[in-house]
Amino acid sequence: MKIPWPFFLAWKQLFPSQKKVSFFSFLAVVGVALGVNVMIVVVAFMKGFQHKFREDIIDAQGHARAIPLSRTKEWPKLQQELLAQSEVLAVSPYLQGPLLLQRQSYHSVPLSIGIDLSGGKSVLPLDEFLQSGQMRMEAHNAVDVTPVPQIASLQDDVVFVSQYVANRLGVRPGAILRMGKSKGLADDQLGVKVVQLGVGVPSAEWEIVYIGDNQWSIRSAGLDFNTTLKPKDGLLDGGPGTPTFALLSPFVEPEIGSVSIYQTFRSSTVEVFSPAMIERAQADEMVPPKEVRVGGIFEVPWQGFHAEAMIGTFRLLEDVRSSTGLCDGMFLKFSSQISGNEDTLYSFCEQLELPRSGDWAFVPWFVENAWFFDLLKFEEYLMILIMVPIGLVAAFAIAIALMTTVLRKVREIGLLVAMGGARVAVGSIFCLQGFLIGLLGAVLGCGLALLFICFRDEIMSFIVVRIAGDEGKSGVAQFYDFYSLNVPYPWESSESASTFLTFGLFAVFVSTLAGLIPAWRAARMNPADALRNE
Amino acid sequence: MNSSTVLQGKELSKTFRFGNENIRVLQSINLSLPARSSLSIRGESGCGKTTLLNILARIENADTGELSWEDRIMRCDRRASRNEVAHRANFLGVVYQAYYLVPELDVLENVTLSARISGGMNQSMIERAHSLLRQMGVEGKARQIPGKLSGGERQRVAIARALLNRPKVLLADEPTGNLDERTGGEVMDLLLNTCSQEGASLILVTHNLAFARATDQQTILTEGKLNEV
Repeated sequence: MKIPWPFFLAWKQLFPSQKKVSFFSFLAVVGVALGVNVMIVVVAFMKGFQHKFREDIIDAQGHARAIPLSRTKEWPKLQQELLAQSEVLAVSPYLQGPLLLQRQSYHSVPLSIGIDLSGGKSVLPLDEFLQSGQMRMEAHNAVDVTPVPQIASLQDDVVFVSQYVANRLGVRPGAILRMGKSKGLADDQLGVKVVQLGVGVPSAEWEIVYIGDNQWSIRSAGLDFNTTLKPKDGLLDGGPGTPTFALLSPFVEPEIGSVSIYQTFRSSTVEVFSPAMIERAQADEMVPPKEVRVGGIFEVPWQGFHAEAMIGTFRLLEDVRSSTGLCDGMFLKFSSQISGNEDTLYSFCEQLELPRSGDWAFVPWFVENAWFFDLLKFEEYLMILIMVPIGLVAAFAIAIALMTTVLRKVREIGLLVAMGGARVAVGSIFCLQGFLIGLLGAVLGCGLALLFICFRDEIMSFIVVRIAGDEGKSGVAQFYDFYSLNVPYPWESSESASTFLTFGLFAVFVSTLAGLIPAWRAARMNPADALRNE
Repeated sequence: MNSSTVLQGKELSKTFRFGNENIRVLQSINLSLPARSSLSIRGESGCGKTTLLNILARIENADTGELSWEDRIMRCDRRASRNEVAHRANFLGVVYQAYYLVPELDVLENVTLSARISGGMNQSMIERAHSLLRQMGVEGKARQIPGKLSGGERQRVAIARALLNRPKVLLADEPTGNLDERTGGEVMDLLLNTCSQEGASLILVTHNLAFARATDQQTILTEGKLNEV
């Protein structure tokens, strides 16, 4: 293939024969590459944050909420109607409002949500929230082996509270420690592990002893409890009020007499008052508070969710508010065909709302949190607004460097015209240099951005540890959760591909533009004057 | 125009304006160059020799006059057209005192640059470039960059570049001006011999009387007039 001679000369001026790369080319290409890299990485991370917030919001409130516009007891009918639609995967009715929680002289007024779990699948992945909210105990010569609480343990006299409420009231869920006194088995492989700790398990010491013939004795001297069990489905369940254990290696028989010792701590209790109860108490009516146990501590990853919050059952909320048959709304979860696209979701919500207009409003998650995404978008545009002038400054630098080249090569330009080169072709050499710098810089910048995205955890850890130290790392990660960010590669998402393409093309365009002025100057040069130039 | 004449200039005049002063450097110059011949132009510095060459090469306009490149007749008071520029690449070769080799290209790439510009770059041109470099005695330097060559070697490369497209006319503007006497003599011998072998006519601008005498026609440019010696 014949390469057009201006392209050949442009390439050779950037990458001369016998020399790998000119200093100017190296600096220009690296400059463009760094600019492209920074722009792509910043926008990709911003989009990663948006994506994460989106997932967190959907986790915290579902794809949409159905909100009654007036007090209605007709909601079970609507729930059934919604569940009958194939696009609706789950519906969770809820009650919500402020309740006063009291423990001794400590108070908290969290936003309390009562969820109806009787309808099967819940919209909210509460188990995930509980997992992140587990509070570990530290003790000498003992290990906290408390299993992560499950939403299944949510009963009418059990609540889950946010970390903030737990700290404010000084409450904790039940806990179980494996004591260092265990005999016969290695500490890290005791033969059994605790899989469930019901809220009703009292504070006591427990001994699990293998007595042979696949039989285990579970006893607690303080509680005057002693039972012998054979594992059922790999589990040792002594009934309500006892921890449930699972065999770690069902096919390995422990030595007879092997003992594991555990210490349980009963979960805290709190007293619950509703505004209605307080009003009645103010009217000198005897209103005993509702006493509930703390089943777990939860943390919702979405920062917009109330920090001071409590989750209980629907019936608990009904009970304390003395309002039966009402509901404050329903969390809705849709199939991916509906939820995957915001426009489709919006139309579907409109579709649901139309026949129930005036009674119910269906609000998609992104409408409810539009303020937050507007803020994020604004931040993203602001970043671009700051970075684009930086790109233009780089373009000016390229233009100046190419202009200097034109001035340095005046006689060469004259010679090329004398040899039969058209002026436009001679001028295009400098424009093409700008184009090549932009193109190579864009390719290198995209490559650097891919590397940055690929090794983002390592790079961020490196930076954060050097700024905040090992101790500060977890704090920073909690605030800017880089590690769980989903930053897709261009081949994984069209949005990411368009980010790469946009900034790559921007670099090529700006660099080519930077080469236009020197090109124009070279093209209008009189060859005879150029040849006379000293 | 005689069928054997490759280049002819008629009534070529050129005036430069410096402030309010008009300096007439060329006055009704008539010049005719037969095929396979050589012509030298001597004259004092600043008398207009290079300007005349530039006008003959159509890279500079004259105020009046007409120029013929073989059968192509051109008015010299207007800028060269695109066709003329394209034709120039094959019709003319140019050699300058300061060589003007492209520093980023190696010797072979410099020589073949004229073929690239004229659009005739192919394998046979590369072979011809090697052959010309051999004739010039610098074939061993084909992959070196100009910066590592001596002045004489650079000028040989420039001559090879000028001759690559088999031009009908070679314009040489003081090609030995930057060289010592011995090297200049060698380069001039090569220039004359190669032009003769290649069948190219030569217009040589020089201060050196001996080199001028080696050409078929000798002229002197004095006070804007070209006089035959």
